[in-house]
Order: sequence, then C-alpha cells, then structure tokens
Amino acid sequence: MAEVRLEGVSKVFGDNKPVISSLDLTINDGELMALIGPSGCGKSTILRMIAGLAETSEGNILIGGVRVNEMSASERNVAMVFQNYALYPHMTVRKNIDLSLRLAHVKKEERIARVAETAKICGLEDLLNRRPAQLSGGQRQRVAMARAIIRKPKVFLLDEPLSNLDAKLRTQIRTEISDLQKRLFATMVFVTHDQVEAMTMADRVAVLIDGVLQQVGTPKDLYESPINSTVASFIGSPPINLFSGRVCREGGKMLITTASGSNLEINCSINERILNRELIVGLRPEDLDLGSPNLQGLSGKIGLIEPLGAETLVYVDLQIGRVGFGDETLSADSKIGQDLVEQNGKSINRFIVRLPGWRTLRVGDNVVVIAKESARLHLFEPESGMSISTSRESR
Amino acid sequence: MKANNRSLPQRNRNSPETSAVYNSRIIVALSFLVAIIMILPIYYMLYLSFSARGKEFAFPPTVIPKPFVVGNIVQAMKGDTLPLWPNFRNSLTYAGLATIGALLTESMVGFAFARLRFPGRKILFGITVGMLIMPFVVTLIPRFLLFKQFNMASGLTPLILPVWFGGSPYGIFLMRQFFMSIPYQIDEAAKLDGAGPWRTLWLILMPQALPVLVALGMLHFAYFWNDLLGPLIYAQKQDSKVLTQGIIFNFMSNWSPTWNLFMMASLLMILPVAIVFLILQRRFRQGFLFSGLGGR
Repeated sequence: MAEVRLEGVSKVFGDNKPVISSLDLTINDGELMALIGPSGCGKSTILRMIAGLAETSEGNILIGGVRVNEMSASERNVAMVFQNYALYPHMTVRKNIDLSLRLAHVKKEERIARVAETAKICGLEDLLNRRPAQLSGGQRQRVAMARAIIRKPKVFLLDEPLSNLDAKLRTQIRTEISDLQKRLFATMVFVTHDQVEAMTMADRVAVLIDGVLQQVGTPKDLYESPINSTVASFIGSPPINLFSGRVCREGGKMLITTASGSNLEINCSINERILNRELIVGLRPEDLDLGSPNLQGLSGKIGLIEPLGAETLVYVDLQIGRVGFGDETLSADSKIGQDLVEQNGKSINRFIVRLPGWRTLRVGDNVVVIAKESARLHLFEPESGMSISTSRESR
Repeated sequence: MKANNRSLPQRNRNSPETSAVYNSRIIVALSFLVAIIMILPIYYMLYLSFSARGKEFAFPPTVIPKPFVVGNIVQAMKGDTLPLWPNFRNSLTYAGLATIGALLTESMVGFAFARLRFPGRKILFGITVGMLIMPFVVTLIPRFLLFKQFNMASGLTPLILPVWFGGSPYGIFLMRQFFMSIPYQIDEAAKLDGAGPWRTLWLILMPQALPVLVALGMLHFAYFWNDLLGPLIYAQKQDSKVLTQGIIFNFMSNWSPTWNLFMMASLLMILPVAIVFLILQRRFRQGFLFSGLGGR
C-alpha cells in the first residue's frame, strides 16, 4: 500500500470557475480517508483525478512518493469501486474479477489461485459462475470490491459505494468494508455525502464544500471542534442548531441573549474578549433539553416530533432571529444547520432537541428549550463563520 | 325470462365500457384488414409458385392451385437457361461479406462517436447523420467512375469494399446510440483494469451489443441479399451474377415469362432470410429496444 499526496491540486472545466482549487491533502499509508461534502462539491472529481480518469489542471498527485500526473489510469495501480459498481454484465463473477489479470497476461494457474483467494476474502466462492444480473445489491458490491482487491493495488478508491443499497444492507456492507480495510491494511479513499458513513468508517474525514477543503481531522475532531460554522452544520445528524446571539454575564451566570431578547443559561467559561459580541452560536441537539416554563431558556412551540425508539427528536419553533452568515462565502448547501421557516412574515428558527427514549409530547405544546449542564458551546465569527478560537489562531 | 331481462338495468350505449368495447372491435377489424393487405401478396406468391405452367391466372381462381406442382421447387433451382446455384453462392458471398464489413466498421465508428473525444467529432457526426437523407442513387455514378479509375468496376468487389469503410450512416447512428446507453463507468472500470479503447470495444462493449448487432445484421443482410441495382451495374460477368439477377435472366428475359418458376425462385430466395428472422426475431426486437429507437 502507499501514501497519496495531493499538492496544490486544481481542476477547471473549460473557462469556468475551478471545481477544485489548490487542494493540499495527504492520505497516509493504510488509512481510510473519507471525502465528504454536499452534491457537486468536487469530491468525486478528486477521486477521478487520483485514479487518472480526469486530468489535473494544476498541482501534483503523488502515490507512494511518485508523481503520477502523466501516468495512465492502469499504470497508477489504483483500484476503484464505482457508485453503480460498473460490473461487466455479460461476464460471470469469475471473469469480472479475473479481467485485470487476463489483460496483464498473468499465467492461468496464478489467476485461478488469486481468484479463489479473493473470492474467499469477499465471500463469493459460491457465486463465481453467476452473472451480475443474478446477484443482489450487496453481492454486486462485494464483486466490485473483489475486482479491486485482486489487482493488489496501491490505493483503493471508493465512489459512494453504499448509496445504491438499502439501509439495512448499507450498515452491513459498511462494517464489511471497514473490516476488509483493516485486514488488508489498505489505503482507501472513500467518497460519500452521508456523514454517518464517513464518521463510522473513516480514520480521518476531509470536509469539502464548493471545491474548497474546509477541514481534515478525525471524526471526533470534526464533531467537537469544527473549524467553521459550515463544517459544524455539515457534520452531525441531526444538525447543530445555529443562531445569532451574544454571550453575557449576569449575576455570575453565563447567558446567551438572542436577537429577540430571550436568554439561555449556559454553564461554561468564556474568554472576556468575546463577551457581549454579536456571534453565531452553535448548540448540538443532544446538548439541549426541554424544561419547565419557569426556567430561563428559549420559549417556543413544538413544530414536529420524530420518535426514533432510543431517542426522540423534537423540533421547536423559536422566534430568535436569523443567523448572520457571511452570505458571499457560503453556499446554500452549507447552511444546513439552520432550519428557518417563515410564519406570519416572521422568521422562525426551528431548533432540534434530542431527548432520550420515548416522550409524551404533542405538536403545538409550549415548551422552553434549555441547555444541559454538560452542554458544549460552539461560537463562530458572524462575518467569516470561523470558529472563535480557530479564527484567532489563524490571524 | 323476458320479465327478468326487462328488470335488468339497460346498458348505456355511451357508457365508457361500451365505447371501449366498440373501440377494441374497430381496432381488431382494422388489424385484420391490414393483415390481409400484408398477407395477400405473400399468399398470391405461394399460389403462383405451386401453379402449373399456363394455369397461373386460371379463372375462376381456386384457393389452392390445381394441379399443385411441388416439382416447381427443383425446376426453379435448375433454371430455365442456367442453374441458380452459382447465383445463390454469389449472393451469399456478397450479402455475407458486406454484412460482416458493415457491422464491424459501423461498430467501430459508432464507438468512436460515442466514446472517444477528438477534434471535429461533432462535425463528422453531423455529416454522418446528414448522409441519412442522401439518396443512394446520388452517389451511383461518381462511385462507378471512381471504381472504373481503379479498374475495379467489374465483379462484386465494388459492392463489398465500400461497406468495409464505415457501413451505412443508419448503422453508425444505431451503434452510437447503443454505446451511449451503456454507462460510461463501465469503460472507466475497463480502463483501470488495463484495457485501452480497442480492448474496451471488443471485450466489454461488443458482447453487450449482440442484440443490436443481430438486428442490424439482419437488416443489412436482407438489403444486400435483395439488392438488384448494385449487381446490375457491377456484376456483369456471368460468374459474378447474384440471385436477383439470376432469377430475372432465367425467368423474365423472354416475351412470355415463366411466372410460376419466377415466383418459386423468388420464394426460395426470401426463405433463408425469413427463416433466420423467425429464429432471431426476439433478439431483433431487443436490439431496437436497447438502441432506444424502438417502440414498445
């Protein structure tokens, strides 16, 4: 296996705006890296550039320390699993797996042995004589993986390989791919728009928005310390609650005062410099609770309840003012965290509260949203959207 | 019983159910009419084929010819003046080689238009599609003069050779449409597996194109098999004449054509194509469905 390094890589189609601009990213040897971002952010283009299926407009791609920009797709020795698996429909599973070896003129005995070994790894021994049309979605996915494995490539590239599977199978295959990656100690780059896949499978996650790499880190880093409000809103399901507010100190208590004047008490220590400043405040749904009306919190009405068994998601409509993003720098897709709805001409911010177990609540109930004792507060600059601590470091 | 019938609700003639029944009856009647129009000439051909000499147009006509002459089959193959076997062999050579050439080159050109990126691709494809409306006769004389320049204007070569350089615009268009319907990721997967464009075409795409190739091959074969104009221009020598020419010269060249043998020879001529069509008709229909050009 090998390390993959992208140095200042850009991709431009025609005379248009770059799809990828000056990307620097290193995928370590034996690491499973997830590229995540909304549709059209350029993550598949990155994968295709690494594979040699798309040309690089600028920058260098290095696999195992060797520049591969001018190498053809087959010379790079990378394997790719496509979203639709791209199996050859007229060939049996055996021939599908075997083709790369046949084209490389590998001896028949060796080919037979390697097909058997790969089929065993992927659990395909009984399916070798079937055609793709005779396989289920999960089996096809395994054939696509087997086709990649048999070549013993330096890097595995997976382009949304689970998106064509149903929810149950997706969970199963997710585990299988993770297991396989660990067993083979393979360098894998995994493209997905599903953050659950990225968070559960990847060693590290790279968040890409509009062709710009926002943050690279472990799933824990991204979730707990997002570099900006865009990453904060993209990572986490259900998404983080973002709203405009000021952090104030009142009689020894820390309060978040919203644009509409409501106060939310929070237990945290805050740097004096950011007190009383207009900021973007972020609170994860699991850091919130519903309290009795006499508590200091944000009052609102329940707009929607989603009981999920182990937990209940409660959507509370609050009149607390629109979030002030720097509109020019962030696309509509990146504002996932705020769920604004218009009611009687006023903008209502829909807060999501994650409560454990089943709850006997009704839509339309008046409630007060409070922050838990253990709540972790995320603060972002209103103009740039950068995390307060991060933005200070970078300046 | 009468009283019971009267008590039943009367069905409205204008109700949707009634009009649907009438509509379906009209459709069936029209289908019958069309079927009769289509079948009648074939029936008449069969009738004439088994009629005795001089009794082809007997009046009043009978449903089955009397006498029913099976010996016309052997007689037609022997020919009036020359046997038809050499013509049959020439037809098979012409139609077979031309069909193979057409399929091979149409696939390659279709693949190039569908998958390869090269300068002038769109213009060239536009010209190819434009050729669809070009009548065959327009190029007849220039082509003849061209082959005459090369001293090749005699025999079957001028009929077969051009087909090996691109086939027909229709075939190119059909193959291109089919290749475009195959997901591009299949090509990319083949590329990663180490296949270049040539191997991608032959190992990956062509086997998938089998139904389209069957459909197109049958259309081509039928066209070349039935071709008369081309052989009349180029296949002047006796040893290169094809079946269509053989039939005409044998049975139609004198003042009183032998209608029964002429029809029998024609029947024998369309038989191989018809049999192949009947065997492959499912593939034939699939081909048009896959290429996105067919109906339901």
